[in-house]
Amino acid sequence: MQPHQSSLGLRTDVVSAVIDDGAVLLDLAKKYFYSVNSSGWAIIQLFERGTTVEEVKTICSSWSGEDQGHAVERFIEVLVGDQLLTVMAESPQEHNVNLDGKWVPPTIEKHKEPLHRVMTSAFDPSIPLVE
Amino acid sequence: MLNMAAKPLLEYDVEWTDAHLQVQIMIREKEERAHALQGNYLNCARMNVDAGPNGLTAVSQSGSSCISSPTLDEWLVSVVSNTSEVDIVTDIEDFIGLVLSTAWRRAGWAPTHAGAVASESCCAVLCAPTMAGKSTLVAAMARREWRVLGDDKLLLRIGDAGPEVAALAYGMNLDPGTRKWFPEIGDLSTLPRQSFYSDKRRVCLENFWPKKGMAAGRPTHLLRIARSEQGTGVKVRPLERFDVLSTLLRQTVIPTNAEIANSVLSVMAETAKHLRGFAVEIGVDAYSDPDCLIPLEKQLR
Repeated sequence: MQPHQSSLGLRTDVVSAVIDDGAVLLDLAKKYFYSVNSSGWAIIQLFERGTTVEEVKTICSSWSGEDQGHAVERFIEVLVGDQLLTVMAESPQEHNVNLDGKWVPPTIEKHKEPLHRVMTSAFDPSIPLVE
Repeated sequence: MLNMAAKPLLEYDVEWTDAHLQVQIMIREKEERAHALQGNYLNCARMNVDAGPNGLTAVSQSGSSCISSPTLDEWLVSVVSNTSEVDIVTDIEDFIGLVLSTAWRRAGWAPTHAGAVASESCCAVLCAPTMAGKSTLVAAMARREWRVLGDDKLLLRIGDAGPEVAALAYGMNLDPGTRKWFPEIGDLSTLPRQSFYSDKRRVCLENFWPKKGMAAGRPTHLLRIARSEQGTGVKVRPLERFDVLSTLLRQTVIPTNAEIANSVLSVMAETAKHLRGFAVEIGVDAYSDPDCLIPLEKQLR
């Protein structure tokens, strides 16, 4: 993958929900979840529509009023490293993402313990006890 | 066979006045075993579930199966006849659980493996893995002024006025050993085991703590419960905001389906916003002190 040149999108099996000051992402394949701040959530929404790294840097710089190349690259490195993004065949769509609140450097925190892959039952997500 | 299917259904003894969805389950015996599945929808201890264009298919380790219609409102359970009674009973329980949890999600609820207790001003969701002490804490609180929405099965959703929690079962699963703290329960060892894999017995809340059942509430607090083998008493400390959501996420099954997962995640995220969270550490023999819950109750006011 050549992240800077390719159109990238969030994998369809990465789901998200808005929380205070940002969002939580859940990777359904690996069961890890991540918290992102408001700036990070705005970047994620850009990837939900499909975008390039360069476009993200440009948009974030316009939101903040100054160059955000390094901050954005660090954020995207985590997304790429954890394979949360995928190369899109189509060109990126026009974005209508707005930043909620004031720009702050984007953060993404991966939570140490994933959700369980194997669970006790369809109702109980606990790790199964030894029988 | 029908009695075996009825048993898990009879556990859900909270009366709901509105019928939200109708689901039909047919049960039959069969001789041939179904092939094992990959579990692209759910991987459970004794069954895997695949999702496809024709609905959901579950196969147990013993080869029994549970297949839905494409609309998920009709299910066919096929139980392998030449297998042990243990396998038959547990397979049927697992399949019934799958049918019900699927239906509840379709009705907009997130099935949650948690207990809940409530007072006039507070409704606390009690979270912990299996066998970590939820039921015992619920019983201890029921003996005081708290009402009970359940010890391990609840439904959560976001209503017009915010998060709502609904009760499903007033039965509780208690270990006979808790008699030393709660003498009014008597000798539970004479009752049948709740499952083949647990010493716990199923008891009716009303038998020991009358008029304590509550059908619904608006959650205000989350308690993350853990046993402490070293400590004594009950220790309480606040949880960080994200730990509240993290704890709640671990109390619900999230199938590998983006649309359903998105819906469950949204319910949990919105619910967590409204909860004050506390980590509750229960020391060895804590309940022998009748006032051990005072530090916790102070935080819940």
